Amino acid sequence: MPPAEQERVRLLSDAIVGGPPTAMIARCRELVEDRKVIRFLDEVSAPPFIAAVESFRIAAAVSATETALFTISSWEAPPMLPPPFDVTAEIDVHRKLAEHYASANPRDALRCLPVNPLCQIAIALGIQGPNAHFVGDGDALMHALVLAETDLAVGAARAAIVVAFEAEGPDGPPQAMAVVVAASTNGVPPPTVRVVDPAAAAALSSVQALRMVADAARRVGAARTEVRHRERLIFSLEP
Amino acid sequence: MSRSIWITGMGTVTPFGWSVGDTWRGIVGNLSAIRAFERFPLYDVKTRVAGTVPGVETPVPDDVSLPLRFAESAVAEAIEDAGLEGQPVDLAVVANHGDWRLPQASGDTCKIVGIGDVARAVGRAALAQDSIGLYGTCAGGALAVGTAMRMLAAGRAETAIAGGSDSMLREMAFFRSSTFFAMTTRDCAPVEASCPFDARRDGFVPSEGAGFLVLETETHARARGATLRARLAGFGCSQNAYHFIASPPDAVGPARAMEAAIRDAGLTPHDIDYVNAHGTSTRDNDLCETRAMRGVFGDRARSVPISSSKSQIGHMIAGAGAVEAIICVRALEESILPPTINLCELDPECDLDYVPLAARPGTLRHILSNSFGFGGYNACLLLSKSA
Repeated sequence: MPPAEQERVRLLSDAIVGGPPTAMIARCRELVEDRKVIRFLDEVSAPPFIAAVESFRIAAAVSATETALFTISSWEAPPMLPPPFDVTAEIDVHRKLAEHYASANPRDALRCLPVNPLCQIAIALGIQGPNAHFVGDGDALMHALVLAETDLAVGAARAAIVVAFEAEGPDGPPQAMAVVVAASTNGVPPPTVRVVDPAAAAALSSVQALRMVADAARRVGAARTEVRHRERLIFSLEP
Repeated sequence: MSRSIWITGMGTVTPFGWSVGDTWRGIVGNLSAIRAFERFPLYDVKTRVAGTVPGVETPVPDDVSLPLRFAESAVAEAIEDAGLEGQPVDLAVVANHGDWRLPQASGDTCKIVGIGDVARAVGRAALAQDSIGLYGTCAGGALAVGTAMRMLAAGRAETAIAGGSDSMLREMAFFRSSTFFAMTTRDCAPVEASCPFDARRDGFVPSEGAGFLVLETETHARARGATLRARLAGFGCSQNAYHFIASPPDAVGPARAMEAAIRDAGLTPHDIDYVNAHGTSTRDNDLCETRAMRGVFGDRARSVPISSSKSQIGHMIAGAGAVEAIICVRALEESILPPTINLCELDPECDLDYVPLAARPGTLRHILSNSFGFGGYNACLLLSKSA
C-alpha cells in the first residue's frame, strides 16, 4: 500500500490464519525451530503465532527490538475443561486437584495462560518493545490499536504488531489475524483510529474487527474513512 | 502528547487491611502481613504461608469472587478519595486473572468471574463510559496504570480509574501456581518468609488484594479543584523475549523498561531518588533486578535506595503494581522510604541499598516503581512529587 501524503500510521502488512489444528502446528514447525517455543504452541496459540510471524516477515525492514506487540482475544483460558478426574464421585476433590497439579507438567498450566501467544511470538521474533494482552472482542481490539498508535506517537516503539485471535473461529477452528503498523515518517503521528461506538465494536469478534480496520486502512486517503457494521458507525480512520 | 497526568484518588485492599491508611501504617510500621495459610487444606503442597486479606470468611463460598470484591472496595475508596462520587470517569483499565474453581460436574464451567467481568464491574462502579480488561500477569497493575496514562496523554480521555485486583488464594489458583516452582517453600516463621534480596530467599509469598488509582489530566483536575497527590510522569514497558518464567540473565528487558519510563518523564537516571522494586524474593528476579539497577544507574546504583514492599505484603500478582504505585505516592507525600524487611543475610550478588529492615526518612522528588511478570512483561511507572 503506497503511503498517502498525510498518512500518520502506515499498515505495513497483514496476515489472516485459520485451519485444522494439526496443520497449524505443522506450519509453526516450518516457521520456527526453537524447541523452547514449539513445545508451548497448541491449537489456540498456533494461529496467532503464525499470523504474527508471517505479517512481521512481510514487513521486512522493521527492527524487532523497537517493535511493540499487542494481542487481543475474548478467550479466557479455562485452567481445566473437562476436569481431569471424576468430580461427582465421593472423593475429596480438592485433594485430587492438589495431586493433579503436583504431578502435572508446568508447561501445561502455562499454556493455559492468555499471555502464552504473546510470549512465544516475542521469543521467536525477538520483540522487545511495549506489549500487552487485552481481553475482549472488537472493543478490546480498538483499544489495542489506539495504544499501538499512541506508543508510535510518543516514540516508545517504531512499529507495532497487533494480533487478534479467537479460540473458535466462525467455521469452528481457531482463527487469528495480525497486522504490522508503523509510524509515518513525517513526524506528526497523532492517532488515526477513532472509536465511535465501543458497544457496536464489542458485537464483533476481535478478528472481524481487525479485518475491517485493515480493509479500511487500505482505502484510506486524504478523507476521513468511516466503518459501519449493521448501520452503526463503529470507527473512523482520520488522516 | 504533552498533557500532564495526575493521580487524584487512591484505594487499596491488602493483607494489612481494607484502605490505603491500613496499608501505609503497616508499611511504615515495618510490619509483615504474612501468616500461616489456613484458608483450606494444603495437602502436600510445600508452600504454607500467604498474605490473606483480613475479614475474608473461611471457607470462601463457591460463588464469591475475591478479586471482584477487592476491586469494588478499592475502587469505591479511590473514587471517594478523588471526590468523584456520582460523577462518571471516562475510562476503566483493569488487570486481573479472573477467578476459577474446580468444575462441579461434567460440562460445568470453572469460571467464577472472567477477566472481562471484573473490568466491566469496575467500569460500572466508577460509572465509566468504557472499560478495558488487561491480562498482564505479575506486571498487570502497573501495565493498567500505564495504559490509562497513555490514553489520557493522547487525548482519548480526561479521567480514568486504573489498577489491578487478584487472589492467588483459592484452591485452583494456589495449586496451579504451585506447579511453577516459584513460591516459597522455606521452613521458617511466616513473617520471615518473604525476604527479597536476602541470601535465604527461595520464592515469592502468594497474597491477594487490589489497588486502583484515579488519573486525571491536569486541566480537568485543576478545573474541579481536585487535590493533585502526585504526577504520573512516565511509563516504560518492554518485553524480555527470553523465557515464559525465567528472568533474563542479562537484565536487558527490565533495564529497558526502567530507562523508557525515565525518558518518558523527561528525566535522567540522576533524577531518581528511590526505586520501589518488583522484589519478589525469588532468586532469579531479585538478582536480575539488581543487575538492571546497575545497568540503568551505573556507578550510582549503590547510592539509589531500592526496596521491596513484597517483603511485607507478599505478591498480589495483578494487584501488585498498582498497590506499589500507591505506596510510592504515600512515600512522596510523607518523604519516607518504605523498607525491605527480613533482609538479614546479605547475598553477595545483591549489593545495593535495599533500605533494610526499617523505613527511613528521605528527600523524594521522583520515584520509579518496577513491575516484572511471567510472559516476559516489564512495566515501570515514574511518579513525581506534587509541587
